[in-house]
Order: sequence, then structure tokens, then C-alpha cells
Amino acid sequence: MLSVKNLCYSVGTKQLIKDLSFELHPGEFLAILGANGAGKTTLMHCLAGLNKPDSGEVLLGKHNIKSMNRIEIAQQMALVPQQQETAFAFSALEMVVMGKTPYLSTFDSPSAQDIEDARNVMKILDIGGLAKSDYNHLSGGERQLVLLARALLQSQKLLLLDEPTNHLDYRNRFQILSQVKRSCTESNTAVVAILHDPNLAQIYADKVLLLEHGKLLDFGCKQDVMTAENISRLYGLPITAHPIEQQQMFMPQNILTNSNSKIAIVTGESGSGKTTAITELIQHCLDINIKPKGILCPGKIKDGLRSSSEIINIATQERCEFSKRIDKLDSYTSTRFTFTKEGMALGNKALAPEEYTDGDVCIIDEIGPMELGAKGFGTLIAPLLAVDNTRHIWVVRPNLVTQVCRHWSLNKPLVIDCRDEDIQQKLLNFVTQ
Amino acid sequence: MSLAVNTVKAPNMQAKKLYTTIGWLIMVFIVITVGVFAGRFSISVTDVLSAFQKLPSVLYGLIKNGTVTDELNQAERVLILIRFPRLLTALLVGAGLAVSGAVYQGVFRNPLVSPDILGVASGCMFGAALGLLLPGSGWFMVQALAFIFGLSAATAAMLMAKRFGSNSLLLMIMTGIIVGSLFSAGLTMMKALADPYGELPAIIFWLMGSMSTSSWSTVFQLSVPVLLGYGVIHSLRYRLNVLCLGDQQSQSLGIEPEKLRLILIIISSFIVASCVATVGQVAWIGLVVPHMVRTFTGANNIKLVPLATIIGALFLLLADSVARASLSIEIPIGIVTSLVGAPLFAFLLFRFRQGGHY
Repeated sequence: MLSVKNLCYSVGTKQLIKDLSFELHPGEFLAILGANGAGKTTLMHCLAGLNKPDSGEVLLGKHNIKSMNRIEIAQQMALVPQQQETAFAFSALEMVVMGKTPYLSTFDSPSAQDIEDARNVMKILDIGGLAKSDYNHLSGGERQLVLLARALLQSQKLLLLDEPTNHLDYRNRFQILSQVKRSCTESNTAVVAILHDPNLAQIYADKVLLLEHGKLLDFGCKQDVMTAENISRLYGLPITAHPIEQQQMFMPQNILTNSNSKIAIVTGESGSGKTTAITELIQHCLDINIKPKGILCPGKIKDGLRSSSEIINIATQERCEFSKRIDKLDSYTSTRFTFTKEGMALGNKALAPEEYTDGDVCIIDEIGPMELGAKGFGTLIAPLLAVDNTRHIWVVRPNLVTQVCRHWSLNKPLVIDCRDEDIQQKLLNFVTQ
Repeated sequence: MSLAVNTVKAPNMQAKKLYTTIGWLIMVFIVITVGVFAGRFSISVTDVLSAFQKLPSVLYGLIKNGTVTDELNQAERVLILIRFPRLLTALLVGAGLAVSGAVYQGVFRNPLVSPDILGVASGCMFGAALGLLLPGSGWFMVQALAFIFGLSAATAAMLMAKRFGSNSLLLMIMTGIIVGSLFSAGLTMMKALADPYGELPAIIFWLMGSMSTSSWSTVFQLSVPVLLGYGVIHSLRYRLNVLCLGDQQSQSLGIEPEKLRLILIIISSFIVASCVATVGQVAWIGLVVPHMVRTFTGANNIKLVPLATIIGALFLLLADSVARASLSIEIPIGIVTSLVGAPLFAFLLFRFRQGGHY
């Protein structure tokens, strides 16, 4: 029904959609999930032919939408936009009838039959009573149903829904998506919907597309894509999947637990021996047969200033140069330090969530301003926290501790100053508890 | 079930439609009658009947020879050569301004927009003043210059908006303001330069708007753009509904908004330019008549476009009758439209506000 190949779209020099490909079949419900500003609506407008892609193609059936005119596209796919007020007061029925527009010739107006069809669709959606009401005076839920009715009148082949659950109350959210889902199963309609709640995607979608900064993070069947790690990474928030009946439901970790007994933060000013303490701890762990994973970044001091650092994969003991001081500001780090490609690759591998299993200890030296800005290894931290029963030891500067706790929604983690005399004992207790 | 409901409903609806149509026809008849009889020269019913009988042959003679060959008494002369063309001019101008107001408001998705928004009226006034100042230019020259400058103002505003690289409506409104203020400055310049005893009053009276110079040639000259323009707008009026939803939604409903918008703006600017060029500036109608009609039809252009046209036409005819008949001198038509229209609009707003259209 709909297939997208290597889609790229940019505005000015800013690339908003990067090399995206996926496919959708009739009767399937595809949910697009992504953080604010990830490019979800931009992508949807590319699918609807409202944005002209730079390269790649959008195929509707066998035809590239580039070669189709507006009417041909409109007869195949209907868009339910984010709701907004209209400048003039149209009645709900008048709004719904507009779904017939692509079937009217240029100088035509809707016939009595068209109006009757519109009334029937409204009846099916249980909003027949609203026909004469002013659209601008309807509630959010009613407007959404009116827009959905218009879309169903327009085309039942492919529906695009841009945040259909916005402004809707708890009941209406389920009602509108159930209605859409019914259309999938009864009329074999293919649906693409931008959703904000992963649980709604979990309940209604067949396929899920995760969009991260315009890039595809993952796409596929719900079962494969909807994992706690993926969702955590997508929103930068540690999330756990809880089974309810037959479904996995997602919840932020800090909401269901009172304290994060799984996180210890080692803190101390620059040069106070944080990395040394961690190195010592690793040795103690190995002594009692616990094999910690993660990264360690010992710095080299020159003339009282940190001049460069190395990165070490704790599990494999691979090491390479990581950061060095340069003369000008680096555009990626916004500091006078620059990261090496090999260093980043080594770190990304050492912290890849799929490398971690139940009971692992993950050490991150260190979490700084870069990570807080979703750069460096920042995007990996939430998914790491989502791995069940792992324990984490982070090195954080004192002035960033509160910020780090807030950013990843940590409840009362164990915070240890690196000059604490009992630090080794405390960390060992934490690792072995 | 639904079939049963329909059969009960349909005759009711049809009857209602019929009554509404008859009601409108009666209203049109009354207003035209008022227009025919109003004026300083009193007229009897027999005069009107005989004037109607002679009308075809007079018109035929006018078209064929350019002069009146028939024998006419004074009352018939007044009716056929002055009052009838004036009535028709008022109807055409009122219809033209109202329909283009409705279109502009829909296209710009803004109920506060009037047909002057792209600088058409400013351009017309500048052109007319230029015509009145140029030595040796006759009445035709004044109208032609007004028309040409009115259209060039709108064209300039639209080209400028396009050149700035965006098709945003807001930008078009702003370029309209730029062009409009340039032409207004030009107009003031003309007034400053004009001879204060001959040319300046002429310019000022022209600006106030009047239908006193209408003749059958005015009617022919106006009827082409107004009737043709209305025809196209009438058949595109459903698309205008969809256009009111904004570019994104209208595109996803299979409409090409840029093209449609361009067509509608060109047609309505054409109508406005020819109206203003012929009778001067008539305030109020283009902005407020669509509003007044919207208070009882709602936003649906299927009803709004024809009704606004009819009401605009009748309204101007009525206003012109008042302007001619109420005082011994003729009151400028723009004053009457505002004086009569403002309280009427206030009343409608008050009366229909509960209906929920505003």
C-alpha cells in the first residue's frame, strides 16, 4: 500500500528526515513514535505529498506520489491534521462533506447524495447529532471525530493521523483509536498515526516506527520494536515494561519504585581521585569474581590542566585515545576538547544496551554536560537503565549531581564522595547487594 | 429507517426553499420599485409602464446608432436614460463589491479583510486623480486610468509577495499595505498639486463616490466583468469553502490552493477595479455585507456567495435611492452606506450572536 525508500528531506541546510525506508500493507496500523521535534509531522507531510522530498521516493501502491496529482493522491489517502480552529464557522456536517472534494469536478458542489453519505459516516461514528453544530464550538474529542469522519468519507485505503489523541480526554483517546482500528480490520484500511503514548501504540499498532532526530531508530512489528530499551532511548527516560494481562505496558522507572537502589554516583572535584577510586573498585570486583562493564576515562594532566584522556572498555580492556585539547572551540562538544572517532566507537560498543544482561554492573566514567545534552554517550544512558536488574556506578562532578538525577528521573541514588574513607567498602556493598 | 426519515423531510425542505426564494423575489421587487420611484423628479405608474415598453427599442437604437431616435416624453427620458441605468449600475457595483469581499475574506481566511487589501482601491483612486489632472483627458480616460492602476497595484502586491519567496497570506497582506500606502501617498501628492478651484473638488467628489454619471454605457462596461466574474466565482464557491481550511488541509483534500487562490484573487480584483473605476470608492459594502450575510447563513460559501451578492446589490440600490431622494443635494453614496449599514450591522450582530456564528 505505502512504501518509502531512502527518503530524505531538508529545509535550508537542516536535514530533517535522513534516509528513511519502511513499508506498510493494507489493514496494518503503523504508529510513529518520537520525542518532540524528532520530525514526526514532517515525515507525515512527506508521506502526504505536502513536503517535496530531496531524494528517495514515496510509493502509493505502484505509483510514486511525485508523478500523481493532488486529486489522485487525495482519493487514495486522507489526512487527519492536528486540530485547529477554522477562521469561519462551518457546521460539523459541512466539514465532513468536504471529504468528498477529491471526487467532485472543479465547478461542482456536493450533491444531496454526498451529504447523505456524510450523514451516514457521522452516524457510524456516533456523532450524527452534531451535524448542525458549529465546528469551532465542539469539544476536542468531537472535533477529532468530525475530522476522522471527513477522512473516512474521503478514503478508506490509507489514513494518516497527526497526533489524533492530542487534546482528548482519557475515554476519547481509546474511543478514537478503537474506531480507527475497526476501520483497519473491517475495511482493510492502512493507517499511519503519530502517537505520543507508547502504551497506546502497544495496544493498537501492528507496526511501529521509532524516529530519533529524523533518523530511523527502529521499524518493524510491534513485538520486535517495542522494548523497554528502545523506548527509553527514544525519550531519554529510563522505562520499564510491566506485564498487564497479555500486554507489556511501559512506565517510567521512578514512578513505580521509591528509590533507585540500582544507581551509585561517585562524585568529587576535578583531580580528587574519582577515576583512581573506580580503578581500585574494578580490581576488588574482579577479586570476588564480578566482572564489571562500561567505560573508564583516565585523564592526563599537563601544566595543571587536563590535556587529553583515554577511553577504556572495562570488560575487554581495549583502550584508545579519546579526547584532546585543541586551540579552537569544537563545534560538536562546544568546548576546547575534541573527541576521536575511535574513542566514540569504543565507548558506544562498551555501553551498547544489548551487551548487558540481568545482574551486570555498568560503570560510566564520567557523565558530564555532553551527556546531559544528549550528545556523547547521552542517548545510551536511559536504555542502559532499562535493562533489568543492572547496577550502575556513575562518575559525576559535584555541581552536576542534582541535574543528572533530575535528567534521568533518579529517585534518591546512593551518592558517595570520592574522598570518603569507606568508599571502597560502600561501593562493594552496593555491587554485591 | 433512514429512508422513512428522508421522505418525511424532503417536501418540508423543498417547501422551505420555495418560500425563501419567493421571499427574496418579493424583496428584490420592492427595493427596485423604491429605486424607480425615488428621486427629485416625480413619476407615475403609467410613466413606468410606458418606459418599460419603449426600453427595448431605445436600447436597440443606442447600440445600433449610438443615439436615441425614439420620441420620448420627459418622464420617459428620465426613467430610461437616467434612472434605469443608474439602478442597474448600483445593482452591479453593490453585487461586485460584496461578492469580491466575500471571496477576499475566504481566500485570506480572515473576516477583517476588505477588497482594498491588496491596494486595488488605492491604485484606482490614484489613477482617477491622475486622469482628472492630466490636461485634456475625458471621463473615459479617468475610468481607464483608475482601472489600470487598480489592477497594477494588486499585481505589484502579489508579485512582491512571490518575490519574497513565500506564499504566506500574511506576507501578501503586508505587501498589499506597502503598495496601498505608496499609492495613497501619490494620491495626496496629486491633491497637493491640483488646482484648488477646479481640479481638487473634482478629485474629492470622485473619491466620495457617486453614481450620478451612470449611463447605459456604464452599465455595459460594468456588466461584463461583474457578471462574468460572478459566474466563475459562483461555480468555484464550493472550492472556496475548502480553501478556508488552510493550505495543508485543502491540499490533502485534493485542491491546489496556490492556483485556486490566484484565480480567485485575479477575478475579484478585476471586479473591484472596474467597480471603483466606474463609481469611485464606496465604503462598507465589500467589508461588511459578507459579514452581515454570514450572521444568518454561516460560513458556507454555497449560500454565502449568492446571498451576499444579492444583498450587496440591493443594499447599494437602496442606499443610492436614499442619497438621491432624501435631500435637495445629492449625498455622497459612501456616507449613506456607512450611515445605514453600521446600525443595521450592529442590530444583526446583536440579534444573531446567540445563533453562534460569531
